[in-house]
Amino acid sequence: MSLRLSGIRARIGGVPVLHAVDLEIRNGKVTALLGRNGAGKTTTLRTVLGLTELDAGEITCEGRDLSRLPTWRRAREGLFYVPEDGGVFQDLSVQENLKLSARMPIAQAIEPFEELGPLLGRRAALLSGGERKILALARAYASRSEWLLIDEPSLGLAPTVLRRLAGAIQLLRGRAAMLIVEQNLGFAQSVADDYVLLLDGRTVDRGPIDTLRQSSQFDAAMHFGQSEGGSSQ
Amino acid sequence: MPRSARALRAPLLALLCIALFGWPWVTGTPGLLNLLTGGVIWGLFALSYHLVLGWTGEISFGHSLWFGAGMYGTALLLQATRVDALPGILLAAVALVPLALLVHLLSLRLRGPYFAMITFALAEFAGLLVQNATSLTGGTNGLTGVPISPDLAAPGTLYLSASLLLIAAVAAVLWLRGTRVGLVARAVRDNPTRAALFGHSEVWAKTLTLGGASLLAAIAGGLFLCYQGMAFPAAFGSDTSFTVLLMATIGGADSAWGAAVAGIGLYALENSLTATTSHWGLLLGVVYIAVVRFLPGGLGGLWRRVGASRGRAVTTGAILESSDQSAPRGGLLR
Amino acid sequence: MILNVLLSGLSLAAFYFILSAGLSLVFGIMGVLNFASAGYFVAGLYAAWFGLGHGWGILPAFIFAAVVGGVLALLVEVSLLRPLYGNVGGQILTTLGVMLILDEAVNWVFGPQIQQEQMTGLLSQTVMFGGMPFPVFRLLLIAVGVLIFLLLALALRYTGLGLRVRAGVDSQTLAELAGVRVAPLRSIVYALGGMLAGLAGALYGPFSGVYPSAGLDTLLLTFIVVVVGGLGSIPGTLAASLVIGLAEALVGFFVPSLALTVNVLVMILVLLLRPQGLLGKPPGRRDTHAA
Repeated sequence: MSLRLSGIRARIGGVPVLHAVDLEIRNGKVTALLGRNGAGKTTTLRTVLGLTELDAGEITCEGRDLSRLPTWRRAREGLFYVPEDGGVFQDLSVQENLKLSARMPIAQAIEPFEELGPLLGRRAALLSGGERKILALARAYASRSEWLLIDEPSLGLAPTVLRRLAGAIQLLRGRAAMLIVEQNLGFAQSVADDYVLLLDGRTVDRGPIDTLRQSSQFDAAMHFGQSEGGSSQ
Repeated sequence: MPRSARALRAPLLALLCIALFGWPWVTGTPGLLNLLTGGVIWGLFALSYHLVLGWTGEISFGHSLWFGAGMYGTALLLQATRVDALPGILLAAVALVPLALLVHLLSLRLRGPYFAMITFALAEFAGLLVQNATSLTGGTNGLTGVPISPDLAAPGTLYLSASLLLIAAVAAVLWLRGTRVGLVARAVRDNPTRAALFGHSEVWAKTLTLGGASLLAAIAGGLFLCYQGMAFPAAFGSDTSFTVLLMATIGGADSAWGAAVAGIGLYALENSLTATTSHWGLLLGVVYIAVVRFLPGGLGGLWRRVGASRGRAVTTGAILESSDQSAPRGGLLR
Repeated sequence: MILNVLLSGLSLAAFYFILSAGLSLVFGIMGVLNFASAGYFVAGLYAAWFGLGHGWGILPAFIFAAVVGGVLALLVEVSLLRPLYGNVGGQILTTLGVMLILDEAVNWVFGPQIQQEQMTGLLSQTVMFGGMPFPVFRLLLIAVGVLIFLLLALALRYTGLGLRVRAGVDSQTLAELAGVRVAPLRSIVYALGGMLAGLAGALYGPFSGVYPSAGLDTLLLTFIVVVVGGLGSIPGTLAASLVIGLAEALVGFFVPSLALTVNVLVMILVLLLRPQGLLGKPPGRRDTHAA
């Protein structure tokens, strides 16, 4: 049970951004994709979903090649992408947001996300940043997707909301493999099992998250990463 | 613009001059002179649209408004005063500029498809006004019997004046493109937000550019009045706007001379064909679809491709697309 | 008497709504300012005229008009617009070309003259409201307008297809990420837009006559309604239709010379006060997820 990226190359606007990305995520594990701004973290996620065109390399899901499939097919294969703003449909209500990708009754889908109960009829544009992220994770849960790719879940959230979010990620852990892009090292260390370091479009190191600081590439890959944590690509 | 293309500019202009001035006299055919005179006037009109398309990056479906306004403005001026035709045309066009600036300032509260629609509505509205103000404009019959002084009444001198104006206008647009004015216009077109950081207001830059476009269109309208000997309400019509849009698109959104050449060519084509077929609209429609599909950069883009220079052609498509994204949008069920 | 004026306004509003709803929907999902809609309008106008002329009765003739508009639109979408996917500007110019071709084709086949359409039976009658006669056909127009609005609103709100369409209008990228195939949705919505335009054409004939440039003549009103209402919003289109229709009827009654002007004045007023239209969103929101 694994989603594997091998030898991924991709460009944005003609400029090569990813040169050699190799990684693998497994069911039940949370992998943190770390690196400083511009390393290609978001592009990696977008490439997996087919939002950025793949130049070379392969994306396989349990041995099946996904690289040539359109985005909607990849979504139906169980890939779920949560962009940094949550990626919810602003004009749809919370209930409709859930319904669109749900493979279970809505009542069941929001059991673990009870704070969404009173908000079901509300338009997603009116949700707070934290509520939007919870809704995004609820959508992932409801869709029974097996591969979750989450971009900067912690971005712009207050500490109490962060703890709630970490709880939601723990809940999803048992059902899916997760790849999380993070700038907030503390948060990454609190939810992830493994890390992958990305430097200038190349995956340079990986290992259990406890050994992150011992990585020979840590300084090179993460330098300035914390100080610029607030900005986005 | 790469150096090779810049070096080509002077010879090209020279060629244009020779073609414009020499040809009719060489052949000496009145029919051809007539055709080319109309073509050159539409070339000027198409050049004015190049300012809209290439400089502001907006699309107008109502550029006919300024062609018609120049035509009727000149006609009314010539009727009311003893002024000669050429000064009359220029005077009327300049007098329209404040109105144009006001209208553009208002219209530019919108962008992209909304801007396109409001220009369309305003031109249609102006056409209706002109048709209904019968006592002043002659209504649907048009305004005939406009006294045109000898300086533009003779086909030869009209052709010469129109050609000189076109060449001067092409040169002015090409020259302005390289100056600060042109740079600001392009900066605003390509990235309004960033240009604003450098103190260049998008609305003002575009208003002024569109004002210049209206001025040229009004001059073309005035010349066309002298060419036809009458002012007619169809000048305000959507067909006029669609045709000039097509000319500038065929010319290439980023190419001043392309627009002028396409204007001359398409007018000549239309008027040689209307002799044999009355279904010009059908052909126009087919040309639209074909240009989008097969000639996305227009003549300018084609020229650049042939010249193997790597300037990124700005297509009409790309312009509309980029302006679409910043357009206001409603939710379907809100 | 005022009741009569209001009913006229409502019937105008109903017509404007049917005329503009398709354009608005198509813009919502494709981002395309669909000039070709004026072409489908003319096609529907002549289709209904053809049907009525052959004694089909009003219902079959009008359904035929809608089908003709829808089929033409579907053909255009699949053959001309789909290959230009991602090139919104190219699509707009293409729809402009399609409009020119359809108008000219109709002109070629049927000639430029105005044909009159005769309603028969009840629809040719008038009823008295407040002592003034009111054409029954205009009552039918109001009924059709209400019906179309309810069908559209309910379908968009309560069906799975409606939900997917609204998701696609919100963000095509997010819709694809949710496993929604957007391409067929575009075809469906575009064909629906063609059907509505064709139906609007059929409804136009009985009170304004049948002639080739009818599409272009009504395009102005369509644009005004859509600018006033906000592109892509069905309730906005309805609100704008009501405002424009009632204003036109009232002003036309009290100051007949201003009847045409009032539409443009309303539009300019709305632009000054609320550039995004009555129910549109403020500018600046982009589909940030698009590639």
